[in-house]
Amino acid sequence: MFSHVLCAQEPDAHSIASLDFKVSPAGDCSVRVNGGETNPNGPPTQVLTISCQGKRLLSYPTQDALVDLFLNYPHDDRVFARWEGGSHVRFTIFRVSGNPSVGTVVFDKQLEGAPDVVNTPDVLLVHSGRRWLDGQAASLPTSTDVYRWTDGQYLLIESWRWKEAMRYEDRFCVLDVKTLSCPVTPLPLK
Amino acid sequence: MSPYFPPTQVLTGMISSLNFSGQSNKLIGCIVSTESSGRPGAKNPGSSATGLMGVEKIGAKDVAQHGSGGTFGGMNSSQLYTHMTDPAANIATGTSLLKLKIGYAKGNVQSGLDSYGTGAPYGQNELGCANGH
Repeated sequence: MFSHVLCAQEPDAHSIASLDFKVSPAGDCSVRVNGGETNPNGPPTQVLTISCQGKRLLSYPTQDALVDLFLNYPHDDRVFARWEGGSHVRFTIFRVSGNPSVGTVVFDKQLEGAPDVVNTPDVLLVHSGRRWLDGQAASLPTSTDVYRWTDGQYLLIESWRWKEAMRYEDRFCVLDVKTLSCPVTPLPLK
Repeated sequence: MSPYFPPTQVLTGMISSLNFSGQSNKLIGCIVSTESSGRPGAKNPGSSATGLMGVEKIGAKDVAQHGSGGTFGGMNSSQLYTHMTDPAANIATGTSLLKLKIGYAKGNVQSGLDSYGTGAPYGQNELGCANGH
């Protein structure tokens, strides 16, 4: 049900991380993230590039720093990247599609924490808000948005507010609210 | 917007002493409220954000490598990050990081705040908070 996190390959001397994947019809592709301190007066910048069959399809620069790269089996046309910056998480999803193949950014948001990536159904659970529990350092989200992969894009299909009874492990119950007795109330879509 | 949790008197004094951001102490109090509701031990379950200002590992690294505001006893980024539940170290690091972010945004405070937090309208909200309290 949940995503398979793949270990990135050992990066070469110039890259922070790399990952190989195969997608139809583009064939053998690779993602590589390079970081540089090329400009001492400018912000640290990392650049993610996607290449297929030796041809560069996409270049994505960011001032955030890569945490991890992964695929979401069996949806191997997309690469997921999690970055961190000041106090936020940037979550970016790249897609390789078409013939001739092109690389596109299909999701890119600065979030309070990393979303949950689910493969069946093919959705993202994006959590926001903070509710602090007495005597505990960790917080719970107060709301969750459900984005479903539909026709080549992530569409916001549901938004939920968590009730006080919510536990962190409950956050997947929005996938089947009625059957799982999920402690949520619906929110209007933004 | 998040509810505003005013800093305690002790925290207010700490911010006054350790604010290396070049911005108002009120603004730092607003960021502390948003990121942790004033909880020094705050941990984000979905990221490495820690402590009063929600400083992440990469933020500590940026400050250790480029920060000019605070003195951190020669600690490297990993050592600095391990101290992020210490209120004083967190304020010093977080405000130094904010100064760097604003500098990266060529002095645009709102853009620097957006880069520190969750993007627009984070900066607008924090500046509004600082102007309102």
